[in-house]
Amino acid sequence: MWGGGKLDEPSTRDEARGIPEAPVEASAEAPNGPSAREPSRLERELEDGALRRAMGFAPLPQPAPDSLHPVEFEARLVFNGQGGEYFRIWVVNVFFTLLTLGVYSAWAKVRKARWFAQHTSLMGDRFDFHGRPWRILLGRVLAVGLLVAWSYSFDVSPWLGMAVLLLLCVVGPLLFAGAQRFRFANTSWRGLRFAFDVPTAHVYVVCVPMLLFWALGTVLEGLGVPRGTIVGVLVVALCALPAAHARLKQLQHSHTSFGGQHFSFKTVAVEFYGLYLSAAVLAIVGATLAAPFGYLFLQATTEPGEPAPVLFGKIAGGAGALLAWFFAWPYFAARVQQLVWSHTAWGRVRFRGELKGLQLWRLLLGQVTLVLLTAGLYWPFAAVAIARLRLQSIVVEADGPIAELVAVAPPPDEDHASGDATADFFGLDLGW
Amino acid sequence: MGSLNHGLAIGVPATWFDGLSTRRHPVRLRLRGDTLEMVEDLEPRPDDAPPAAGPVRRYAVAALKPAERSRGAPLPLGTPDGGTLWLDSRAAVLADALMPCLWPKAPVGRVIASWPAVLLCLLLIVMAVVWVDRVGAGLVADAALQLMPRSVEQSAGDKAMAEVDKTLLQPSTLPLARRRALAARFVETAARLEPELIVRVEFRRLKNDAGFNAVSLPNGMIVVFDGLAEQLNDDELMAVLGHEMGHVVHRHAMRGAARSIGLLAVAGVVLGDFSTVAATAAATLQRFAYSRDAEREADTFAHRFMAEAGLPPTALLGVWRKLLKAQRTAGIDAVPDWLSTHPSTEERIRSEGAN
Repeated sequence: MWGGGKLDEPSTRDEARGIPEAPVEASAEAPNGPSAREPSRLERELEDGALRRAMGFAPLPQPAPDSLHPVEFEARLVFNGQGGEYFRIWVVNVFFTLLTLGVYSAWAKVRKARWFAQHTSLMGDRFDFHGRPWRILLGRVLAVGLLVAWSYSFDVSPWLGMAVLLLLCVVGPLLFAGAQRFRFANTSWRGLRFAFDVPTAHVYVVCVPMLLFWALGTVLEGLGVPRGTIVGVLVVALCALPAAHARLKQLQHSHTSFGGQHFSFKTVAVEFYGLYLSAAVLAIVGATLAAPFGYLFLQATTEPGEPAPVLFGKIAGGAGALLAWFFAWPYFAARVQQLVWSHTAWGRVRFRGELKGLQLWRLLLGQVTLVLLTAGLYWPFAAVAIARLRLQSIVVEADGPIAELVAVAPPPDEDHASGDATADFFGLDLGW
Repeated sequence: MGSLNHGLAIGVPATWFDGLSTRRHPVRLRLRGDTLEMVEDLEPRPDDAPPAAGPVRRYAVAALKPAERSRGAPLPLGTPDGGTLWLDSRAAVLADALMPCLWPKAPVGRVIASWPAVLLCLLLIVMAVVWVDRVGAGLVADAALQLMPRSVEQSAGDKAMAEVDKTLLQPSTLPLARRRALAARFVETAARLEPELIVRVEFRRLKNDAGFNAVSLPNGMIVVFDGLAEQLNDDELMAVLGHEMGHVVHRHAMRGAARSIGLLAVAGVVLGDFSTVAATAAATLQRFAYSRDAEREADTFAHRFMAEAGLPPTALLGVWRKLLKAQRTAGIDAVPDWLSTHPSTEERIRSEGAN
């Protein structure tokens, strides 16, 4: 949110500096040429002020850049963490997690999240993370309990399985929304926290179909449906995946707010279908490229005139699938980031995702190789390099001088409804 | 000149956010005893004179809420009025002076700050992983088996048998007399060796494979496939049954599962952040190693069984020779050891020769 009408009125700061008008105003005068009459405030608003922008007209003409104080209209996220620093944190986190049989992982996660947040900055100011480890620990215990119950309930009886599924459908969406809330409400920039609030009914509408889709295979198997039918049903259900992905992003991005201003997210599922389709094509290309190597491998390991051993066939198949995945995934991840960010806005502020599939692919090729060669020790360096590429490809675009952008905290009593106690209970972290 | 404000305005520069808006407040800080004095800078004057001093805020140092300090990053301090003070490199000296008062004990933070301590942690992690692999996972498995009643293994085995019977197996076509004789001979020897243990033998034909194999299930059921029984004589078949009984005696199915759960957890902690595929692959390869150990243990038991049954000691050697031939025919004799759940047949033949 722009700080009220501050863009349109000379701020006290400008007065103190002795600048007669904000740069926006100065440029606004220029196209009109010298006029005898000072235009009225309403006229100015209609010409290019807040009113015009609010009515959805074209953005302001950009002022000519002043060589001494260039006016920036966009800012890029900057990540300046060093791999060596994260390496220390990672080693110590892993050590204490092993020492405490996993209990410390919650504290480890807070430290990691805080380190990444504090090394990410926008316009020179750092993000920060404030999550409390106990809530993460509680979330993990709950998630593990639910997953264990889910994995074994169908072995006991189909009825118990259905009961656990019902429980998952009731609790799962709340947990999901709670995890989002935990993540955003504990992230801050320039002293203001992000927020995530979503009507409970909406979470159920989005999440329950996804849960059912996810559980479909297990349920059918538990009910004794023949395997062929299950595969068929799953393939049909898979066609809904891109649409589900789009809806999930919509849910995440349009209920997050900062400084009382909600982010908004506009997308059509068609774009996600296009994305999944091109990723599938790339995977097929990757598998095709892998096929000659697999053939050579089988030739080299098999005596002539004998059928290829089943095990080697499986190895070749697995390697091919991995290669196909490696071929398609960076492109897919990069395109998702581009797509999601270019459809996200915060008031009149827009975002741009500039991550290129090829760029990510090239980075991953080197980093993954190094991680494998070092038996995992290079991972912290790789994580930092990947985070840098992904974060620094996000650009914030404003329709005015971005330095003047001011967000104001929402009034404290705005939306503290009665559901707050449950909201707080479910505000647990679930991600690993 | 603003010289009246000059004294107040001097101090360590820092940035403050009031928690109400994202507006930056450039401030100057001074430490006065237990109080941090914060003077807001107003806009610098046009003539580049020192900035005029704005409002002054005072905080008790003990009331500031610090975050853990990471090197090379500004230190955020929560102020009691809901604001955040960021001390960057310009205020490093002040941050150093404040930290001990704010957070006298930060053991983990200290470990992270020191390279020797970090490297020691790394060494201990490697040792812990090796220990879990060699000893720890086995101990966990032993403890889990102590707690697990036999009835769990019983029902797991029953379930598995019902499943494969439905999908992969069909009734045996071996002569009934041979099947009965073998089963009676086996049960009699088994009862002498392990009176407490319930084991039995079943014969099946695999639907789409020759099946030069026999398997044991955790419920004490040993299934011999026709493909194996047709190739081996009765003594050799008894040796195989002894090997499979070794798996049941040592509860290898459940022990393997328990061991690999511990291993998977450790691999998940160390590698899971990088890739769950990598973690699972590492754990799977190690599970193969456990499985090869279990096979060797079962081979050792087979020798006890053979002695008890009065079989010729070369019976098992005959089995491995025939197995090698079957593997060569199927073209699966060249599987590298580390990718296999069983020791190579050559190794088994060698160790029989040594016995």
